[in-house]
Amino acid sequence: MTGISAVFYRDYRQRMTNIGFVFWDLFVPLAYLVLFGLGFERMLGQSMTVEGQDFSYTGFLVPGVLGMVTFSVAMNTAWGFFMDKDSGIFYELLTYPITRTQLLIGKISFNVLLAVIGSSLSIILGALALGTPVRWDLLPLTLAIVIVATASWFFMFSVFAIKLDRMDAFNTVTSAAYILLMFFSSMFYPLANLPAWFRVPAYLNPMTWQVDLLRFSLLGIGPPKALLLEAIALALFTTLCLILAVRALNRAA
Amino acid sequence: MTVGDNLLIYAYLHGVKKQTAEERLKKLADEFELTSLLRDTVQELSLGTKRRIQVAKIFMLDAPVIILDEATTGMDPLMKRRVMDRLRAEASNGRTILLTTQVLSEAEELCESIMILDRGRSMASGTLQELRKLSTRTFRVNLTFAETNDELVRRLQALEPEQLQVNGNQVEMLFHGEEAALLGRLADISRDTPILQFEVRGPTLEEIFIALMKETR
Repeated sequence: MTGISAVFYRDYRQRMTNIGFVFWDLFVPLAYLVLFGLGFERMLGQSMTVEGQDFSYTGFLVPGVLGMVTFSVAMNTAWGFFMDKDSGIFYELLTYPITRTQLLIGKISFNVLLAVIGSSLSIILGALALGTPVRWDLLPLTLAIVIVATASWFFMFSVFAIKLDRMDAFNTVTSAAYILLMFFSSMFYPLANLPAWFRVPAYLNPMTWQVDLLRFSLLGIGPPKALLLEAIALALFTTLCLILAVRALNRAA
Repeated sequence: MTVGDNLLIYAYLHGVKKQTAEERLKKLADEFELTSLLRDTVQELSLGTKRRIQVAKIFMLDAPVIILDEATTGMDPLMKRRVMDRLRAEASNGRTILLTTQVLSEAEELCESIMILDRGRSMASGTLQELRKLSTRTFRVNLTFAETNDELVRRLQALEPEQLQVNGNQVEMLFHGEEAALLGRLADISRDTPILQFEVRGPTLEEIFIALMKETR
C-alpha cells in the first residue's frame, strides 16, 4: 500500500468506526434539504424568482446543501485531525515514512470522495423525490466545484486543528465558523434583497462564492462576470488555505 | 478505530504489503492475546491492553532498531514476562532495542548496555558489570543463621546496614562501606550464632542508581 492509500484507508476506517460522523457527513445535509427545504417552500409558496427565473425553494436550496456537505465533511475530517493531535498519534504519524504531502493528499482524497457521494445523494434525492432542477450537462463542473471547495474547507479547518491545543477552543471556532459562514452567505436565501450590512460580509464569504458557483452549475443562474470573480476568489482562497495548512503542518513537525 | 485496524494500518503506513501485514497480525494477535479484541475499539480498552497493542504494533514491522518507552507499564506479570521474552528473542535475532524504563529490574534483566540519566544528563553508562564497579562500596549480604532472636537482630542493626530484612532464619542486608571491616564483625557474631550460609553479591541496578543519585545530589 502506498502512503497516500494507507492514509486514505486509515481515514475510511476511522470514519466507519464512528457512525455518528457518517450521519453528519451525509444525512444532516439531506435532512436540511427535505425538512428545511419543504418547510420554507410551503411558507414561501410554490415558486420564488431568482435572477429572473422561477424556482421552488428546494430547487434553490440544493446548491446550498452541497455547500453544507463540503463544509461538514471537511469539518469532521479536521476534527479527526484534532483528535489525532490530542492523542499524540498525529506526531507519531509525522515520524512514519510518509511525507507531509502524502498525509494531506490521502486525507483530502477521502474527504473529497465523501463529499462527492454526499453531493450526489443530495442531487439525486432532490431531482427524483423533490423534482428540483439539475443541469446534468454541467454535472462535471458541479463535482469539480465540490472537490475544490471541500479541499479549501479542509485546509482551513486543518490550520485550526493543528494550531489550537484545547478541544473547547477548537469546538468553539468550528461551531462559530459553521454558523457564521453558512448563515452569512447565499446558502439559504438570495442576497439581493438583504440589507447592505448583511450583504457586504456575505459577498466576502467563500461559502457564498462556492454556493453561487454551484447554483450556476446546477441551475444555470448567476451573472457571468460576478461568477468569474467568485471562481478566481475561491481558487485564491483554496491556495491560501493550502499554504497555511502546509506551513502549520511543517511547524507542528 | 478497532484493534485490528490499528495494527494493520500501522503496517500499511510503513509500507508493509497487505498480505504480509495480515499474516503478522494473526501471529501477533495470538502471541499478545489480542485475538478476541481485534474488533473492539481501542478507546474502550484498559491502559494495560492499550500498552499491549502499542508493543504488538512494533512487531508488525521489520525495523532494525526498536525504541520502547516504558513498554510494560500497566501489564499483568505474565504478559510482562512474555513481552520481555519476545524482546530478548528479537535482540538475539540481531535487532537493536533501545528501552527507556524506570523499572530498573527490567533494564537489569534485558539490557546489554545501560545508561543512567538524571534530568537529561548521563550519570553513568556501560554494562551491568561495569556499572557495578562504579559502586564497589555498595554490596548486598545474604546470611542464613542456625537461629535468629532479638539479640541477634540488635547486633545486626549495630552494623548499620542501609537495609535489613529478616525472614525466618534468613537475613538480607545492604551495606555501603568497606567489605573487609564488615566481614570481621560478622565473624564475631558467628561465634555466638553460627552462620550456615553466607553470600556477598554486587548491588542491583536500583541500588547503583540510588548510590549514584546520593553522590550527585
